[in-house]
Order: sequence, then C-alpha cells, then structure tokens
Amino acid sequence: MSLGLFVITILNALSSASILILCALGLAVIFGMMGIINVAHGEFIMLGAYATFVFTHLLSLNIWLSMILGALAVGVVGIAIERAVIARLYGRPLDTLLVTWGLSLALVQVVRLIFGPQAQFLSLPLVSSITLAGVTFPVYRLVLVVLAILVVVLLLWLFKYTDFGIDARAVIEDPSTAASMGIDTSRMYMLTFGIGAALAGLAGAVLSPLLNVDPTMGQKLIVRAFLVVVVGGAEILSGTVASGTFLGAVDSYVSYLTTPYFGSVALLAMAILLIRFRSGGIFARNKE
Amino acid sequence: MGSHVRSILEVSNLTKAFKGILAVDGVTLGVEPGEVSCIIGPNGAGKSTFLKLIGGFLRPTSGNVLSDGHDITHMLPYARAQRGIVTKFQVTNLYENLTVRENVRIPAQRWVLTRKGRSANRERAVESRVSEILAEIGLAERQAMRASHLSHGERQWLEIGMVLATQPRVMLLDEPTAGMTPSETRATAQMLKRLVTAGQTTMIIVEHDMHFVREIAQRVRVMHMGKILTEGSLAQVEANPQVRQVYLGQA
Amino acid sequence: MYPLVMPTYYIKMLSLFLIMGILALSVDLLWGYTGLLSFGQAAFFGLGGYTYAITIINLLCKVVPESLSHYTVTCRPGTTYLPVMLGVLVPAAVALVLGYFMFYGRVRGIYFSIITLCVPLILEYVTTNMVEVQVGNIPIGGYNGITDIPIPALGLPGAAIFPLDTALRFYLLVVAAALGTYLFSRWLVQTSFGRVLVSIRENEGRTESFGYDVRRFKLWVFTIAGAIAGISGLLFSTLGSYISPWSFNFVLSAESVIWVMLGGRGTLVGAFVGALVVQLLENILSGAFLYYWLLILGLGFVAMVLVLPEGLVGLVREWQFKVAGRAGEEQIAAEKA
Repeated sequence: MSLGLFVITILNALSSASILILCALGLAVIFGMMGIINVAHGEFIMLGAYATFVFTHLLSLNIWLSMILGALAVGVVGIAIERAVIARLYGRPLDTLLVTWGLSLALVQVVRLIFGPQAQFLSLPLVSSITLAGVTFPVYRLVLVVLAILVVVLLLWLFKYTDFGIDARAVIEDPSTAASMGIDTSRMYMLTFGIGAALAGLAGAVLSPLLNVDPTMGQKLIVRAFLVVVVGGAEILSGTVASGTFLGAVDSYVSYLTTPYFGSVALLAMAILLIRFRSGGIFARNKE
Repeated sequence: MGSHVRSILEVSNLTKAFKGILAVDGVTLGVEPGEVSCIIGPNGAGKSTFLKLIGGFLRPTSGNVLSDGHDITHMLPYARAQRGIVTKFQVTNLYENLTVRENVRIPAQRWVLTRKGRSANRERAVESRVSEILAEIGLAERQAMRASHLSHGERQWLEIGMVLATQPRVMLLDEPTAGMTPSETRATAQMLKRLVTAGQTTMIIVEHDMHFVREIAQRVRVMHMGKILTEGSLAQVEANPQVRQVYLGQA
Repeated sequence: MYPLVMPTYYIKMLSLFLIMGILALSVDLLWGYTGLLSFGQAAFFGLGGYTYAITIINLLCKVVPESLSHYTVTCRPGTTYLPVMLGVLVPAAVALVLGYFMFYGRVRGIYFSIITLCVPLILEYVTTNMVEVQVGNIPIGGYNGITDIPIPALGLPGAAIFPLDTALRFYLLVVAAALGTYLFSRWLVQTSFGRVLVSIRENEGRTESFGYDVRRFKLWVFTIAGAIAGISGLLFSTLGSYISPWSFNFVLSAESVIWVMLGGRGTLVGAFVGALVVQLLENILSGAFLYYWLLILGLGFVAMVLVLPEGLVGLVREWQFKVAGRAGEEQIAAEKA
C-alpha cells in the first residue's frame, strides 16, 4: 500500500470515528449519569443543525458563531425538557424511554410543520483541502477530528477536575449516597441532561454543512450513536471513544473496500458481535 | 451420625474464607433422611454462609459436600435443585404480578410426574397438585390474589409452597420466620411439621426464633465463629454452659 | 365481515390492515408474553416476502431482461404451496439461528432489543445494494425490489388450480391466516409452555431456579414469532405483487411495537386492534393532517406517561391482571363446583 493510500485510509477512519463520537457523546453522558435512554437524542442533533441554519441564514451570523449558539440553544431546550418532563419520571426508566420517544415524534413534526420536509442547505465554512503525502483531504473534516478530540478532553477535564465533575461522578456511583452527602442530585440531572443535549446540538451544528438537514436527519444518526454507546459500555468517555473509533474505522474501511452500504452493514455486524461477546461493553472483563 | 441409614447429606471439613476471615471453619456433619434440624447461633456465626454453601450459591474454599454419596461440592444451584436440594432465602423472590395459584403452578408443572404422559392427564395432575399445595400452605382462599398483595407472612408461605412444588428431598430454609408475627410463626411451624410427617422431606433451617425451633426441631446445631459448637436436642443444647456463654456473651 | 359490498380498494386496505395485524401478533407473543421487546420483526416480514417472491417466480415464471434493470416476467398458472412453505420456513430458520446466537450467549434485555433492531437494518442495506444479484432467475432488484409477483393459487397441482384472483378471494385468505395465527397463539399461551413464557417475563431468575432452561423457551417463541412475521410478509408481497427493501424498514418494526402497545400488550387480540385502529386513523388523516396526527401522538404519549401514575405499562398490567384474576376466579369456582 502506498503511503498516500495509507494516509487517506487513516484520515477517513479518523473522520468517520470523530463523527460517530461527536454524535454519541451526548447520549453517553445522559445514559451514564442518569441511566436513561434519550430516544430524542437524534432530534437534538437535528435541532442543532436547524438552529445553525436559522442563525446563519435568517440572522446572518457568522457560521462558527451560529454553531456555538446552536449547541447552546439545544442545551437550553434540553434543560427545559428535563425540568418539564424527565424530572417527573426519576426511577422509571421504561416510562422515560416512552416519553422521549413521544418527544422525538413530536419534535420531528414540529420542525416539519415550521420548516417543511425538504432539506436545507448550509455551505461548508471551509472549502479548502489539505495535501498530505500526495493525497488531498478536506480541511473541514480534519477540523471535526480536532474538535472531537477537544470535546473529549474538555469532558475529561470537566469530570476530573471540576467540582461539578466530581459531584457528577459521585452521583453516577451511587445517587443515594451522593444525596446524603449534600449533593443536589436533581440539579445534577438537570445540568447533565442539558450538557448531553448541548453535545448533541453541537454534533448537529458541525455536521450541518456535511449532511442533509431535514426533519428526519436525526433518525438516521441515532442508531449509530446508540450502538456506539452500548458497545462502549459503562465507561462514559473511554468507552465511547474506543467504540466510536473502532466502529468508525470498520465502517470507513469496509466502505472504501466495497460500498458505503456495506460499510454500514459492517458497522452493524461488528456492533452485534461485540454486544454478544462482550456484554458490559468494550472494556468489560470476562465474567466467571 | 446414623449408622445403618446412609446420610442424605454429608459435609466434610467445609471451609469458606472471605478475604482472610473464616466465615465457615472446617464444618463436618451428616444429615439423615427425614431429619428436621435447625442451626442456631449468634449473628455472624456463619449460619447463612453455611446454608449457601450447601445450596450451591457459594463455592467453598475447601472441603466437600456429598449428597447420597455423590460429590456435589461444585454443582451449581440449578443442578442441585434437580437432585432435590432446594434453598429458600429470607428475602422472597416471587412472581409479583401473577396470582398465588400461578406462582405455585410454575414450579409444579415441571415437577409433576404422571404415569401417563398424555397432556390432558398431566394438566389435571398439575392442577390437583397445585390445589394440594395451596391447601398445605393455607393459601387456598387467596389463590386468585396477586402475589404483591399478600402480607409478609403469606409471601413466605407462598414461597415455601413454590419450593414444595419442586418435590424437594432436602429443603434449606434461611430464617423463614423473620419478620413474622408470633401467630404466623406458629402457623409456619405447624405447616412444616405436617410436611415432615406427610412426606420424607429433610429440612435444615437456620433460625433465630426459639419458639419456632422448639416447635419443630428434632435436632439442633449451634454455630459460633464458623464452627459447630455442639449439637443435640434443643433441651440438651439449651443446658449446655458453652452455648449459654456464647449467647450471653454476645448480648 | 362486510367486504362483500365494498369496492376493491377498500377490500385491499382491509387485507393490508389484517396482514399488519399478523405482524403485530408476532410482536405481542414476544413482548407481551415473554417480555422480549423485539424491534426487528420486520426482518422476518421482509424475509418472508422476499423468499415467497423469489420462490414463486423461479417456480412459475420466465424472466426476460429487456434493458438495464428492466425485466419482463411472464408466469404460467400454478399452485403456490411451496413458495408459501418456504416463505414461512426461511424466516423461521433465520430466527432460529439468530435466536440461538443471542439467547445461548445470554443476551438479554436491552441488548436483545438492540440486536433485533440492527438485523433488519442490515438486511435493508444488503438488499438495497444488491441490484443485479440474482437468486435463481430473478434479480433482487435493489431499491426497487421485485415486482410482478404472481397471485397465489390453491388447488391440486396439475389438476385443478384455483387462483385467488379477486380482491375478495385474497381477502378471505388473509382472514384465514389472521384467524389461524391468532387461534394458534391463543392456544399456545394457555399451554404449560405458554405459562413458562409468562413466568420468564415476570421473573426470569426465579424461573431458572426451578430448573427450566429459559434459553430454550426463548428460542422456541422467537422462532415461532419469526414464522408468523414471515407469514405476514409473504401475504404482503402478494397483496401488492411487489416486495422491496422497505419491508425491512425500522419504521415498520417500530409501528408494530406501537400497535401492540396501544392495542394492549399481552392480549393477542390487542395486536389486531391496535394495528387496525392506528392504520385506519393514519389513512383517514392524510396529508398535512398526518403530521398533526403524529405530533398529537407524540405529545399524547408524553401526556399519558406523565398523567397515568403507573404509566402506559402499568395500565396494561392492570388490564392484564384483571384478565388473569378473572381466570383465577373461574378456576376457584370450577373447583368448588
């Protein structure tokens, strides 16, 4: 294999992985902290994309600014939803699942009714390409790889070195003990849900120039995000990064060898195998 | 130990250590078929741990458990259940949303044997066995009630009934009367006594309630710090000065 | 039922609703009775449809390629017993293998749901991608699928053939299938086998402690549910004479779960009720109203879960228990008699 081919294979794998990781982190944070599955996660991603669209095209703001605002906007929506609905369902995971499913349905329709079912178009903020070892690669995708790394590092810092993060880990470990030590678990959940939503919004925002922005875009992304989280297992950050990287690499490599369809098939099949043979996630120790 | 009768259960030098602490320390004993014995002792004596070792829920650090001469030391609980050794824990584990009758029917339908294998006959046999058991445990009137609506004592009886439905040869019971009122405790003792005289069920019961022990035990073993301190009839054991000291010393 | 006086269009719609009811039935057997929430019954639905289509075209038809991706299919009359049998057995076999892979690997709960969600997705991608790949004489057709599927026919091969060539006759076949699968399921759940399924749903660990090999039970019910979904799929492919990768779509799987949920989980008849009512409503509310309907459905879900103290699931449980409780009382009454 020539160096160029090797380089581009790696870059494609990283790009694929970074997109998966960005999409999955919000879901992982919420699931890891609160133990609930947010079926509307795909719609949060979609809202981030639409928010970016609104800020750039209707308010003529700079696209980078729009993306940040878009992520924050979705974070706020997440907090509102958590307070209004999720907070009433603590300890009822199945009902939370149903509720987020209902919200997911509702959100798609609301967006469809406001904006119509057609796809919206956002132009790439960076159209240049970089040349490495004789192959060209879009700069924007590299930016996404860097962004994914930055977000992971940021979350790592948040969970390890801030008061919030330490409290959060206590709540993950044992909510009742954490509560008895004076941690406001309700506030924790609210902020966590908000962060998870904002992460989803960020993913949608940065992906908006790359994908079709239509009301159903979230539904196509949620299955992968889901698989990354489940395969990643109990470790929120390292699990998501590991499974996202692995599954992304598999998808991109098989897509290169065959077609994107089979790349997806490979990702799904690999996820199934990992779920079957490593219950507990990618880092699980074998049960006795 | 019985001389001419082969022990239904034999435990030989059984030890269980948890991080250096000997919960069960080299226990050796034999259980005769049909024997109803209670294991008593202060908290932390290792009684429950010992029961779990016999039931297969814990693996011993060393020693053996034999059933009818077969070594079952490393057998999993479900395999022991198939040999007729069934455990009933303190915390009930029922089918909360099913009726009392349905709860009993599940184990019953697996363990009812009929000479004719025809399904209609088998169904009838299962249903009559279920009714039998319900009568034994005194829950016939409540059979259409959801298990989660039963009182604490009734839940214990239901679970006893479910265990009975598996035709056990050896029943291991861990504090069956915990949380029961005195009248419930008495009813439980009567219930178990009836079973003993009716069938040939061997029972090993870990208990704290002395009234219950007095009512039902043919043989009592006292455990202390993982070892069997002494055994005999309840009267003998109560008169034993060592036993008195162990109990009083713990007060 | 009144189809005797209805125009063809409505008869075909009713047939479709019933076919989807059969699919929902397979979901209820798994979820309502065994507690296995399968998000992938569409996999067996699609497999049934494709197997039937491929078998019958190979058996009875000549396929002549006209131009790129365009074929003429000419078929002679013939009975359809073999395609129907394969249309049931192939999904069942796949369910058996997949079930073995999952249950004997102790995959349970949400992991089960996720794997079942992924399988039809894989099948959808694979079939969409296989445009020119041929099975026998017919290509899979990729996104466009297989068309011109001949109508089913009963009778004696070679002697008398009785084609179901009117909408009404086909409708009767569908009714027979729906009734058949329903009665079979109803019988199944009241046998000892069925009771064990319920006990697995209620407290799997407890059931295992009584010596039941729960893996075997799950495998059996999963295979049966796969066969039932396959029946629904093969009927679907003959209804429109056409099968495509859409039959594997997640929307179908999700809808089948919703039908069961709304119609009453664990009741069997609820599967048909839910499927019929929801499809009817979706048909009535078309166009922009459909979006509003979905919005209302979504918000309605949210409201229902918040307002009902036990949630949707609890409400169904109450219903279920009332049914069970009545059965228990009948039992006592019968014994006293």
